[in-house]
Amino acid sequence: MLLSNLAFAQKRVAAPELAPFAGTWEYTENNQTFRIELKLGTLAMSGVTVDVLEGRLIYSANKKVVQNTLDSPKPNITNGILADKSTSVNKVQFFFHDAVKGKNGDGFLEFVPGTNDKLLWTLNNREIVSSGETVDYGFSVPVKATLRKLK
Amino acid sequence: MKPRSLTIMSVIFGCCLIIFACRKEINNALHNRSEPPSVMLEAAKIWYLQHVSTETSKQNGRLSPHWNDTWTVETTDNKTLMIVPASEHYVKDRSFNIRRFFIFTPDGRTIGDGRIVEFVGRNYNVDEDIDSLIKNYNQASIPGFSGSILQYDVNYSPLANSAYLQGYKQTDPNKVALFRSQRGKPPAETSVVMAKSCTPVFISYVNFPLNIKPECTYTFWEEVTTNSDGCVTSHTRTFISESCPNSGSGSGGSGSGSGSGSSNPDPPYGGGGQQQTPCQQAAALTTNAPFQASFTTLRNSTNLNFESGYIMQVNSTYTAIVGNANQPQIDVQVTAPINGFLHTHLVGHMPIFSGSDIKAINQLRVGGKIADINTFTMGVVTAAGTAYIIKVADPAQFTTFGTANFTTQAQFNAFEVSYQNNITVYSALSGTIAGHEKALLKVLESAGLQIFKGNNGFTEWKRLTLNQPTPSNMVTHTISETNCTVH
Repeated sequence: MLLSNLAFAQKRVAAPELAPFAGTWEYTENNQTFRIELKLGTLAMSGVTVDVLEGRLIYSANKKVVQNTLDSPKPNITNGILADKSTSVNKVQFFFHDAVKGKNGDGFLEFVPGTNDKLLWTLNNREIVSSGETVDYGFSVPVKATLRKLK
Repeated sequence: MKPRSLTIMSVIFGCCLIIFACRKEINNALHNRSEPPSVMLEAAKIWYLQHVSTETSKQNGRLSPHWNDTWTVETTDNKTLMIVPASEHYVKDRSFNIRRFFIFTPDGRTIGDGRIVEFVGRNYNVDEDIDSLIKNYNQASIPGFSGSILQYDVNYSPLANSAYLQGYKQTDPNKVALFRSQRGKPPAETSVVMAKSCTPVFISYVNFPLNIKPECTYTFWEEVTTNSDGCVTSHTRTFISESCPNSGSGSGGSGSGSGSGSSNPDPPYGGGGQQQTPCQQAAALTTNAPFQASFTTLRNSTNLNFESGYIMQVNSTYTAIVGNANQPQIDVQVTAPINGFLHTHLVGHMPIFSGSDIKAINQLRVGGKIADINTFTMGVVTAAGTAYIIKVADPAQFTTFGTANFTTQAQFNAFEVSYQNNITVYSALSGTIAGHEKALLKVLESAGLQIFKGNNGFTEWKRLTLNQPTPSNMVTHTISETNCTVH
């Protein structure tokens, strides 16, 4: 009976360390504006709820909007969790979907050492096992940028 | 008798003696064969004794190598093979012509691989072209050959087979031909359904005797055709021979080839038992010298800034490949079907197979670049210190899974989202490595694939399975590890 109840109970994996990452962050330079809006969310699956960071973004270059997911029903920055909780609470890893290129990537957000209002944004390709076809290694948003906190 | 005549007769007699004594050398010279160095022959004998299993041989019948007639041959891709003949067997249907050999692949001063290979010609004279067949037995084309090449381990358990039509290896699933024999029971008259959505297909029996005796062994040619969905569309068994205890039929008599032909306990063609399970195949890799060497090299390459890999070619060689620098990328561009693919995952990347890895297996399948889906191997060694191989346990199920998940980029993206969500949740519960293992097992639970985890020296492989007690809750999910053994 007890085991049965335990199995049905919803387990919560909290991550209060993610709170400092929430907010609006922006990078502006050379006619480019890259803004991301991060908030705390949850990922719930089969009896477990995990705290995660998720977000949306807008990126403009030369006065043209390249990608804007701010109003999208689904975030395209998802699964944000601490990259390695045992060594640092200043770095988050996340799963990224490039809505323009239709491809996925792996990203990191890390506080610039000694600050709490500057984040280093890094975007990497996920593994690509190709078989002769042309591979697009690029993303439609910056792969590296230092973002400042707006609010 | 005149002294002159006596001299001539003595000379002729002497010549005959010389020819008789040197008949093997003459035969080898005529066929461009050469005798193996004694050290290589001894290495093969030792390898054979290390790998032959009394238990399995009892079940499948032990085929004896004729070591005294061994020769070596250079294949068309410049590889040395050691060929050891075996006894041939009676074939009733003369449209089939069959020869069988042990083929050992030397690796330096040791033996890297050994197997039984059967060459089955259908309306094709295997005897006449046996040297060409042996030199090309792992090639995608063999001039003029129509038939099958069937490979078994030294215990006569099936490893792989391939069908050729007018010289070309067939990759179209509608033309795949298999050859089997059954012992101790007659061929079952059962219908075959490869997937739930397939229409049942009844086996068609050709030329079988009316009186099927349960105590006899029936050797038959089996052909199974499938459509692109993996559904069987026809299934035919053509009778080749019958072997009954104490009846005198079976081995001996007019073998189809040039084997000993004497009465002997050697089994009929077609091996026995079932094809090695994926777990048995994984266990066999622990004694596969080229695999071990390649995987060890890869283990030492995970700290580079580019991925490394090996293509496992059908001729048992391993071709090294590398990916682009500073990208988690590798290109498995192959022009001919392959046996497998091994590669690395670099620092900061997946400690197990990526979604793209699974997609790549499907791409190779769709492109006809997998030599034998039942024995195909994909392996990965990661910077996290982990090593895994993946094998296709249910080809029809994998076809369905691959079609549903990897046909379009949108499907693949959705698969990756599902995989990543599982990674996030399972890792939060179980830590990074176990979390990734559980996530992969979860997303592949209906893929027809099996995952195996290797130890540090790749001397042991364990099959991983995800236990999901009812009622389902990810908290209670655990991983079982089952040791793989060859027998």
